[in-house]
Amino acid sequence: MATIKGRTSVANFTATLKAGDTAPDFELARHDSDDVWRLSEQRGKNVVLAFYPFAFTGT
Amino acid sequence: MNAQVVGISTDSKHANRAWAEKLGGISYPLLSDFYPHGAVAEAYGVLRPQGMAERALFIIDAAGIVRYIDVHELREAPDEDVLFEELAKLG
Repeated sequence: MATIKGRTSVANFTATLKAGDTAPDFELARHDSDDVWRLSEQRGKNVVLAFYPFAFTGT
Repeated sequence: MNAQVVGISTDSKHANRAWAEKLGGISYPLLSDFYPHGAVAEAYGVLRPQGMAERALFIIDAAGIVRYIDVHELREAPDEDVLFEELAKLG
């Protein structure tokens, strides 16, 4: 992981992924339903995954 | 915006639901990467040693390919303008 400080991105890659890679599939519990949310069920749509550290700290 | 947005953290579903209620509702799903703890964040390379996720955005296209990654300082919110520009490229 790069450690460049600043307002812009720290990095445009991670330890496991870069642009062009296949997104690892997963399913997780969602807050608003008993259904799971599965990435592979979103094919045909663009998807934004927004990872954040904790609830109550902003998106 | 022509995209499905989801939020992901290592919080429990209970914590995410409480947060959404405090915000007065939220228009996209909050997903709990809670058990096994942080497994999805780890697969995406954004699990911090302390057990929480980095603040990071991934844009995935309609074919399931990662098209854009943006990892931010924990204290900073990602730049939405950049996000919208990248989404516009995908159409």
